[in-house]
Amino acid sequence: MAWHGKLLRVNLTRGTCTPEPLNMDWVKLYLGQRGLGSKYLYEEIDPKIDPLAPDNKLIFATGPLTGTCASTGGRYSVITKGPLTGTIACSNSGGQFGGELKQAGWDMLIIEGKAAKPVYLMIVDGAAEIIDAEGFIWGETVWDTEDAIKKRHQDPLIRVASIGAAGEALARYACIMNDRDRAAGRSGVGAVMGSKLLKAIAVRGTTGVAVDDPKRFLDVTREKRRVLDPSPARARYSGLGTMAMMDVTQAHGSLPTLNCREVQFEHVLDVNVKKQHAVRRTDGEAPYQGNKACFACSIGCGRMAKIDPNHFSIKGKARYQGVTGGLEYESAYAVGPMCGVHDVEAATYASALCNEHGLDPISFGATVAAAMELFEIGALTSEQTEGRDFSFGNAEALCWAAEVTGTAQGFGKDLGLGAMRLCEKYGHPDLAMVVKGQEFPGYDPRAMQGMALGYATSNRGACHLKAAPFVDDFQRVTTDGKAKIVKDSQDYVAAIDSSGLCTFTKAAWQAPDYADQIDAACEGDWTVERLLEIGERIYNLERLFNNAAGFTAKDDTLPKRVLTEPAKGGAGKGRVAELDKMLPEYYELRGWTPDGEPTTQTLQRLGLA
Amino acid sequence: MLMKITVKLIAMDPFSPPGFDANGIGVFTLADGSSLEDLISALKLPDGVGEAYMTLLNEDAVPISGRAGVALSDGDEVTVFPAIKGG
Repeated sequence: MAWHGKLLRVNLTRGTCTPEPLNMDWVKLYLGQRGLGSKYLYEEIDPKIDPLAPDNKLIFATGPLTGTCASTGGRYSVITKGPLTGTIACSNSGGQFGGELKQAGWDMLIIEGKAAKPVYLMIVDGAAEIIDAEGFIWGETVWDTEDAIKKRHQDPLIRVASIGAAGEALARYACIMNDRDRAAGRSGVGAVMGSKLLKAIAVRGTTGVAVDDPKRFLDVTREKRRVLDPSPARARYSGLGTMAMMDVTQAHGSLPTLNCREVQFEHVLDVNVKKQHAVRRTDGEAPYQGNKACFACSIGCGRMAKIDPNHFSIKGKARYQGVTGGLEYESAYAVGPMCGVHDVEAATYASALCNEHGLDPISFGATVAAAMELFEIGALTSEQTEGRDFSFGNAEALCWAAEVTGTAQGFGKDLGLGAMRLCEKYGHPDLAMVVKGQEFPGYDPRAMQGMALGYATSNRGACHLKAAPFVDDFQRVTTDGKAKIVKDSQDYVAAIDSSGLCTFTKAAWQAPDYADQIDAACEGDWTVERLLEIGERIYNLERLFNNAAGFTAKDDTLPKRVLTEPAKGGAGKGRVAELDKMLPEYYELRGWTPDGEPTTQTLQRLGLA
Repeated sequence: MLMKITVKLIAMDPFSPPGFDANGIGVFTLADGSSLEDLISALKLPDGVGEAYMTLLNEDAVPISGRAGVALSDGDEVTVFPAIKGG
């Protein structure tokens, strides 16, 4: 129960859609979503393959609580080998798509092969069909693709996950977007979809989701909402949104600024949450227009924005003068302080273009920041930037970059490579603020030593969501004790990421709150201990994939800048990221060798041998 | 003797105690010898499940467990923000 026990295997080379039973033995060991998808990927592909080759697979996986009434129970993950990093990639998204897929009767989709011509997949409950996309939606934006599919199939309740021009052009950090502005955002999962010539997956589900003990499940989920809903954390996510973080990282000195030259942004008041809520003199409206909640969510953190119609970025462009998604903190940090841009309208426009064309705004912003530094040192010239001044802080350059990267035109193709490949191409690899090829999110690791370790050991490259050292990092800038906090939180988050619930709930819920809900929904005993062991198993399985792909302890590192150039201000003033003090203890706690490989004993303990 | 401590509240809207301006900045008067913990208690911050507050004293992070042992001085600046766990 809570699982349908069914996956859909779509072979695009052969043009077939084949239902299969879900491996319920694996469910007991990996739960669902991130864990179960990773297990299928690990078993079905060679980790050494080219991520953009037809041999790679693209897995859309729901969790046991996806599609249920548990608060935030609408999450799904896309698991594949990532073209940005070459590691295993797992991108988690909200919106309505995941809940709809589960309600259609599917726990998972496995997409394999490559279509002979562009196609989309249409799923209506148990029926699935591969349909020609050429001359229909191939080449269209995410927004137009979604509208066109709903119109053609005459159902506004169809949910669509699709790629834009960026994914079609194989931009290394292309997203898979759903519900216009929700994204399986990181690691380039959209490029894998593009490589298969799969434009979109549309789904309509009416079968519902059954749970093991319906009465108990209703009681438990209501009880958990009574914990979550009145919590200050929920009120903050709803009232201020994730943008509340920007003033925090600014005060703490962990706001990556000017490609990590700085850790605080002198113009932060022009791009923070107060600016987002401030009424403009030009049109009497604020950028912030309201909230948007995902499937079954009682938090509603998503922001909706309206760009100033008089702003240079959208003047005369009716398409962008309505309400659109954004800004969220991670996007805002990347297209704002990281690039030195202090124009909230330009930042909102750049973020909206990332949604429209299917780009990860974190990687996009951090790549533009790297390009701006390359320009300032003369490694890039106006020849590449088509005559534009690409200096830090240039809002017009940022907007142009979003336009040409989103549509894969000219210099946008270079920017679509990501910071690592861009900086290598122009001779300065040290200027890429990446781990394993993936760009930093919005936390400078010099004042946040736990985050430094979390970035370095994340199985998908630099990531703020695969470990949760925030509370300790904001209190202590020293390295002692960080290895255990990072290791334990990585396992905990891996379990939550496999449940169908949103990681933001952990601001109010503790481990028993997740276990109680899963236990009421699913057969078998789902205790906290079991979930944490599953989380540890998942983390090690992902590591095994990466080791087999060729990654070693040498890749568990950070850019030279944050390892050698001390932070200039804030709580971490004078500090660098001190990985060497934390990694040996981390490997020991993990039961890994000094070379970063799980020992035989660890693999046996977790059933991975 | 009394001390004047400048307090900056971050990401706390709509919580705003008397005496704080629209930017969340206020000046607190405390008895000489007061600790950082005394200040935090006096602020009467919103309580709730999972809620904790972080503090910076003149830009240096002070752990929750160490606040009682940190004596404030006249003119100190204290920044307070909730334990946001990711954006």
